[in-house]
Amino acid sequence: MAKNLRLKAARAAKDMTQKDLADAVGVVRQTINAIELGDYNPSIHLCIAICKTLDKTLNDLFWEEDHL
Amino acid sequence: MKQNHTEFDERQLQIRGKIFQHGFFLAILLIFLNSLLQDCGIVWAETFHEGVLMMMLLITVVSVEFQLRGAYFGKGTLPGMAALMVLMGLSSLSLLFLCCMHMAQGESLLSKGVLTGNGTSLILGIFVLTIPACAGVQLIREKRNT
Repeated sequence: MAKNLRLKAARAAKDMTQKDLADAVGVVRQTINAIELGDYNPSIHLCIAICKTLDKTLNDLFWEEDHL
Repeated sequence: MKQNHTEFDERQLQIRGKIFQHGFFLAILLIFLNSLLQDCGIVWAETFHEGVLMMMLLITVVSVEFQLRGAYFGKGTLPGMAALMVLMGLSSLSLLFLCCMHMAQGESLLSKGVLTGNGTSLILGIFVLTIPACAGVQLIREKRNT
C-alpha cells in the first residue's frame, strides 16, 4: 500500500501531531503512523472520524485516483 | 454500528488476534515437543516446572510480539501499565537476586540433567524480566517519536 502523504499534509496543516490526531479519533499514535505509512488500511468508521477531525472529505484523504 | 468499547483500537485488535493465533500454535508446538521428549525418556524438569516454564515462555513470546507491533498498551492505559511493568521488573529482579544467592550458597541449577527449583526460578526470572525490559525500550522509542 502507498504512503498516505495527503493525510500527513492535512494533519500538518492543522498543526497536529500524530498523537493529537490519535487522541482526537480514539486510537493510539502507532495506528495513525501505520495509516500514514500505508501499513494499515483503516475502517470506514475511522476514515470518517479522521476526515471530520481534519475538516476534509473522504475523497481528499483516502481516494486514490490511480485505482480507478 | 457496533462500537469498539475496549481499550484497544481496531488495528491493535486485528494484530492481537493474529498474535493470539501465533501463541495458540506455539502452545501446541511446545506441548508436542514436550510429549516427544517424554516419549524418548528425556526428563528435563519436574512436571509442574515444565508446565510453568512452557506457560511463561508462551506469555513472554506473545507479550514481546504485542509490544513490537504496538498492540500491548491500549488507549489511556499507559499509567496503569507502566506501574505494572515496574512491579514486574522489580519482582523478576528480586527472583533473579534470590536465585543468585542460592547459587552462591552452593545450590545448583541442574541435578542429574534435570532442572532444579532454583534453575526453574532463574529461567522464570529471565522470562518475566524480558517483558518489562522490552516495554521500557518501546516506551523510550515511543517518547522519541512523539
